Amino acid sequence: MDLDTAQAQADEVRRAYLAASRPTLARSTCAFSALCAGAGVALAAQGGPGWPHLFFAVAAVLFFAAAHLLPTFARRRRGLHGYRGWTRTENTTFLLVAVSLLISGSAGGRELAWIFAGLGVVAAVAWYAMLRGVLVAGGWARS
Amino acid sequence: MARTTSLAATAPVGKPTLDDTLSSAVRLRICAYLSGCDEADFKAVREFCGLSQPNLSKNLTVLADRDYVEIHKVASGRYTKTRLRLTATGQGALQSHAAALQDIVTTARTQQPTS
Repeated sequence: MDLDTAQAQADEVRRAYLAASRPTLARSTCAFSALCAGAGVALAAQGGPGWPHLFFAVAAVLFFAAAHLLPTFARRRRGLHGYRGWTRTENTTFLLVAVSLLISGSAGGRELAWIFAGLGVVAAVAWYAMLRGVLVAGGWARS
Repeated sequence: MARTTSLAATAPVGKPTLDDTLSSAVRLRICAYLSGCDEADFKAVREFCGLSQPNLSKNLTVLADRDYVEIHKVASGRYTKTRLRLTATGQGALQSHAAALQDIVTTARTQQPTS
């Protein structure tokens, strides 16, 4: 097999894998999911000690769940079920990050609230870029 | 840096070899697409590969005969849908094939004379 054919087939494997694992979704779906991810991070450290914080923590969990489930359902509507390979690792990583943020948010004081709000904006932008297929773990996906 | 195929990164230990079944561009495309999800609907694979139904069926039969792809039906309301799944054998063959392709590319590039 010559170089060009091998290169073309290797590229095709990569493209096909990405098309199934992270299909390009509608901008609105990506934006709404990114908003949910950002809101989840921002809310993780809000509220005073006790019930107010618990309320915000539960809201953050719901936002995280929505951020994950929106693209998952959009994928399912396209006939793609479940994750495999790198994408599954990415999802596990995001779950661990979400749990870590919830724990550190609950352990921190009110002074962390603004820092988490800023982190929320960063998370929303990163989530949007990932869903649009620009940024994935390991490099630039669709370049 | 461009992301190299994740399949090649997790290729089995040992010299990777090209798979005869996956030498067909269509079958390689089907397997690579199925490697990105647990299961995919027949329709989704057909749309992605841009194949007619008989053509996809023919290629899937070849892949199923080699135990690379599992085909089963699921109930969906009043209809049944055909679902496709890449088996562990198929995943291994694809990883090995992708790693072999990467090897060819790397070897050819290192052997190219620098001007």
